[in-house]
Amino acid sequence: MPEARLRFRSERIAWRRIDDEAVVIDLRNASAFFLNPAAALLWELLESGATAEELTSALGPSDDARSDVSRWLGALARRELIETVFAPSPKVPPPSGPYQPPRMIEDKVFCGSAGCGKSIPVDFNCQRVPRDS
Amino acid sequence: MKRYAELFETAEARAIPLSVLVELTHACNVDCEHCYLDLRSDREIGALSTEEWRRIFRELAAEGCLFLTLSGGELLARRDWFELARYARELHFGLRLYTNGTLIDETIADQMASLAPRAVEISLHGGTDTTHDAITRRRGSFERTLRGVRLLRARNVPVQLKCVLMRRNQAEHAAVRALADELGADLYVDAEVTPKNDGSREPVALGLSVDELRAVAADLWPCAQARHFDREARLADAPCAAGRRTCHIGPTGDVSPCTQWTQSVGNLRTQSFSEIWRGNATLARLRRTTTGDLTGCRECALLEACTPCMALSLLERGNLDGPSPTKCRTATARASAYGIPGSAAGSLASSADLVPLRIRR
Repeated sequence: MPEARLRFRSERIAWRRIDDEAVVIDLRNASAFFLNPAAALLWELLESGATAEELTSALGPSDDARSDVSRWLGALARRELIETVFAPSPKVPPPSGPYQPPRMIEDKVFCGSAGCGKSIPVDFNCQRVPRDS
Repeated sequence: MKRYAELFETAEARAIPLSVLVELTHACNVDCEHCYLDLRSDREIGALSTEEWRRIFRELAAEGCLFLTLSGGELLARRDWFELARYARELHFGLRLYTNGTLIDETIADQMASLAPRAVEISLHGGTDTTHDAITRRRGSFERTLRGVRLLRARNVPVQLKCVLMRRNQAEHAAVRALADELGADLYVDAEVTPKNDGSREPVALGLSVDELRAVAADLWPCAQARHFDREARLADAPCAAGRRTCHIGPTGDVSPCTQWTQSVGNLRTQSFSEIWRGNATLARLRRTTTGDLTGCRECALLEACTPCMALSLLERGNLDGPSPTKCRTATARASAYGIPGSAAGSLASSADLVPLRIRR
């Protein structure tokens, strides 16, 4: 049934799964977010929209799941990366493996090619990333 | 992963094509005198269709590509550029758009803004219409480019101006910088004029000599300073990320490790991206190559000031081992900025030393 669900704001972000993790780029301010496997799983559910309850059920049984999901959604909301939409219920996969809290680490997207601080971004060219970046 | 740099290290270690540049067309409405491309219409070269590009974008996303650069020719010369760009955003790519800016009107500026690109990169060849138009060989292009930049900035679209310093415009680099500041755009200044992809060295004569490069070093390498340089680590490291986490796709579907690489490693009309990226022997060899394998570069005293380029070596010398005269010239001037004395071996090479390659894509 369509009801109020949370969805990530695709017009503001670029993202990709890398193995069981995910990287999300906030295109407005060039922040990068690295999602652990649990957060990556939830993030995928936020593509079409999900309630906090549905996200919690995807992580499996844990006393901490509800508060962990709530905290993680709060972090996304503070960064204005999610919005409320009316959407049908998503297909929530059954939990696999032991419970893991969703975690997200933020870093800044940087510019600068190897050995020089010119404002050419490393993410779109073939220069090596400086080791001291 | 916890750091942005780690994303690139992971991609290289795992051969994930994180950053891909696609040339949707080789058609262009200007005719820059230093351009490395052989500009021809889509019909003439048999460019990929909209549907073929959509399929390729899906394959790139499935392989882990996150950063997609849409380029030309002139990107906007392709009528379906926005349809393709929008589709790429639906697939969650972060976009960069390369254009000369002359075709940007209100509608196109709105379309570009809706894509939330990391940047629109626009070539600006001088601080005056006389110089810019002489390089593009199109009268009025300077004013049209500036108009395009202003339309984008009015919509808060990040614009990165790109200026290749050459003999004709070297005196205007300060004016270009002032113009970029006035327009609220970033500026990237480069001075490497490379041979054309068909092997012709005609554009190289337009570039700066080593002494002229030294004179503009502060603009080219504003952060140049003495740094700790671990030569052994550099020799053990990859020379670049081409074929490791970056690649290039031409308008007819030819895949190569990077934009300067003139030899195709496969075509997307007959193979999937995954088949080429995972199965090609040249790419596999590239991923094993270290800077220490580049016999023409590994002994060079100026390695610290250089970014060796196998593709340019291939184009200019006919082999991957270097040195590329273009890179040697740059390294010699850059070394001055770093306070390192000497010249790189290939910086003074005469044209007679170079291999007159005629490579067709």
